[in-house]
Amino acid sequence: MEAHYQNPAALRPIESAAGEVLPQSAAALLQWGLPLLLIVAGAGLWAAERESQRLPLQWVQGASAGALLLGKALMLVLLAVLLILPLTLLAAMADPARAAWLALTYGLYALIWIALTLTLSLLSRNARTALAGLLGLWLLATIIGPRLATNAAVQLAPLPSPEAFWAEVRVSQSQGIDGHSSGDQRRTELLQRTLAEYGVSKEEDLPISFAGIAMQAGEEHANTVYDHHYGEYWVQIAAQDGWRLAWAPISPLLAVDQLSQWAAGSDWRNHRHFTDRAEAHRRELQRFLNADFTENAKGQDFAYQAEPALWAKAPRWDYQPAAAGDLSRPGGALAVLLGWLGAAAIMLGFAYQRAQHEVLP
Amino acid sequence: MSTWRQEWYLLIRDRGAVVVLLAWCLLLIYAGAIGFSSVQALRADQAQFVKSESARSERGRGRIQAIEAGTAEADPYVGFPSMQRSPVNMGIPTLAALDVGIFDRSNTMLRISLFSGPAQAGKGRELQSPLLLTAGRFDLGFVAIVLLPLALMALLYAQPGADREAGRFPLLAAQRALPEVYRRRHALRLLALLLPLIVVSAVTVAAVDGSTDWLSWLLWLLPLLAWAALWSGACAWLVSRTGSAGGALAWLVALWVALLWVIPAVLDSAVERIAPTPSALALLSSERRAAQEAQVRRTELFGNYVSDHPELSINTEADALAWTRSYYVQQRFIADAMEQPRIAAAAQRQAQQRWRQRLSWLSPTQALSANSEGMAGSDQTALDQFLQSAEAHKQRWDEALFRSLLAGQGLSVAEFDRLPAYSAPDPKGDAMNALGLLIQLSLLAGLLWYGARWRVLAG
Repeated sequence: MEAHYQNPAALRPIESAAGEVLPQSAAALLQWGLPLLLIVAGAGLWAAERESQRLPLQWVQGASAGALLLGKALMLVLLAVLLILPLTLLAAMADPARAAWLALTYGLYALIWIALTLTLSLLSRNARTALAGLLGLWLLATIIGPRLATNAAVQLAPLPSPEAFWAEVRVSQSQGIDGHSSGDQRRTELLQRTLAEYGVSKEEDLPISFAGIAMQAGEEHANTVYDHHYGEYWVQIAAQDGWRLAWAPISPLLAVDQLSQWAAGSDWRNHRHFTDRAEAHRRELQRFLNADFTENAKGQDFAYQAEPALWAKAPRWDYQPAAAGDLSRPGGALAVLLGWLGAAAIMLGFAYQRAQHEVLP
Repeated sequence: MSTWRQEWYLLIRDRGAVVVLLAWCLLLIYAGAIGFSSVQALRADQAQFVKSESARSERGRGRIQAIEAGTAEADPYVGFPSMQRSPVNMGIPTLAALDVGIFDRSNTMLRISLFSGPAQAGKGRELQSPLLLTAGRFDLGFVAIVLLPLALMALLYAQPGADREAGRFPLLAAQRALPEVYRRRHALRLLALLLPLIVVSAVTVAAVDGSTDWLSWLLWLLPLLAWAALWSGACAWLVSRTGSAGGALAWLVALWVALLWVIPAVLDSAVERIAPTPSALALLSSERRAAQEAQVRRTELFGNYVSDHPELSINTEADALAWTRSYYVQQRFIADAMEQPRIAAAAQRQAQQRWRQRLSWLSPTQALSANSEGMAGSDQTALDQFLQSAEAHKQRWDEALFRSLLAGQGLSVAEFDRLPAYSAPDPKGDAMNALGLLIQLSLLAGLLWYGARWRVLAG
């Protein structure tokens, strides 16, 4: 942080990503590994039995199609729980509310994949077709889709290049956001207003330091400039997020990723929470210092040096990260996930009906 | 009809394979377009940067002329030259269109001045999209390393499993020598995937810059072709030993997950433990600590000197030249102090890099990814070279400016015109590394092909 400038928060060091071909995290394990595990375990559950002609034997013994399907689904649920539960418990040790949201997100995600796996297993003629179809779906939904959607979203809602961003900030600072009020003009108007307020005709007659007032006015002006340009930046980030979610019909992972990052407190909304608080702190500190300068620097101006007591009274940075309920929930992502679950359940129901017709005499 | 032509005919009639090939071509074209637009955008950004800095520099020159003519006053503190800035551009290599690498995350444009060196002058790339940074670029490097094995699997996993399951074996065996049929089929399908990759990557590079270094392109491409050969070998090895197509597919996917995900994750974690590197924040903190200690030491020294030699004391607030000299000494103190933590961090990074190289044979994916970025000139090594040359330029720039400042003069137009201009290094990938990788992957591919005994055909 520095005076006069609102700098963007620095990114994590780039060396941390060295050699990383695909994301490596607990979230990646759940987002990619969990569906893969369910597919490998579940693709042949029904299709292989059909292929090996074991289904009729089971009807003869009195097993109903519904009970068989429920048993297979419960086995897959158990498998998903085995993977999700330890990670959720670990998260719960840090923050139970966030852990609950993570459990809900990945629970829904697992249910979607269980339904899809069973649907394809029910519909496929043999285990190979089911496995190939599911792996194709997995590839599209987890590897290709998210990266494709993100790159497309970035092109649909582009951010200004850093050079263009700072060039626009500089222009707005020197000419005003409307482009018609130069710094000199603003200073002259401020001086006239201050002189009128104190009932004097010259700057030297003011009982306070006009430089302090001018500096704070400059800060206020810069604040409006930063609010304007950073505001546009955040609007574009939100638009990118929205465009990315618009691709969710090809992959539930896009919605899961958004919810997971939000629940973990590591998404752009949480990042913005931090940067907004940091900027508010910077502005408060600037106001505090400029007020002291205005009051005490009369006659000394920039030779003025504050006493240590001033620094003892200076506002302190005391940041508390947003709690899970503080920031608006990505409701769109949750709706998409529920939509996926509904669609997968309907497809499973349809596949189950077909399977029943197939086996019943 | 020749056997090869017959295989082409069969490939075209295989609806599943045609869908895979069409999707493959579309993904390649999209990835090529992404790489092309990324490089163009970065270059446009740099051109805008150069333009604005040139205009600024021209204004500065005009002001120096005015100072010389006596119509303007010099800066009362360190003289007018202190306000000069030198634009330093990394230059975006043409081959970065194939693999954008770290260009989304690194500062490639710096404004060097007396007050800020390369480490402080970088500003702006933090404004990149966080979504893009977490997802990564959909460039040709990603498609070739991550998706090519999957496309190959889709085309090859059921050859010959599908024929066996459909009961076509006896018919085929009666007509032809089966192992040759499947070897030919595997080779042809591999070729059908590689041809579009070769064409799209060449067109992308030519579209960015027609006069590119085609040898570097070839060195980028060859290890990827060997990577494809390795996967086709793995497919041949596995399908020739597995009775069912489903079983072969499961094994191949497990291999893909292991090679692209599990092994890199384990190696990254192990290397980070064996040779940890400081985070950017830790490095910044240690630099700041060193700089503050240096400032305190310098103030103490200066205070002692003034108390020992009061007759030589100077008022740096009133005397601009004294301030400048004092500032110069302070800058040198700080620069020297900050060098130690930087050297230590660089040594740690190099140690980690050495470990990565030592273990690269365990993780061909990471070796391939590093080679792809290295040949494209978009890796950490290229960035380090750029920062080193920027640091050297900063030293030359400081010397040129301080020469006149320390002599108590402002900068003349003649000196201004002689100020050193920055010339970016031309990043060259490690050709030996690319060739080594090519040999390593090709040998492995050959072994797998050789080991494919097509036992399943006997049944």
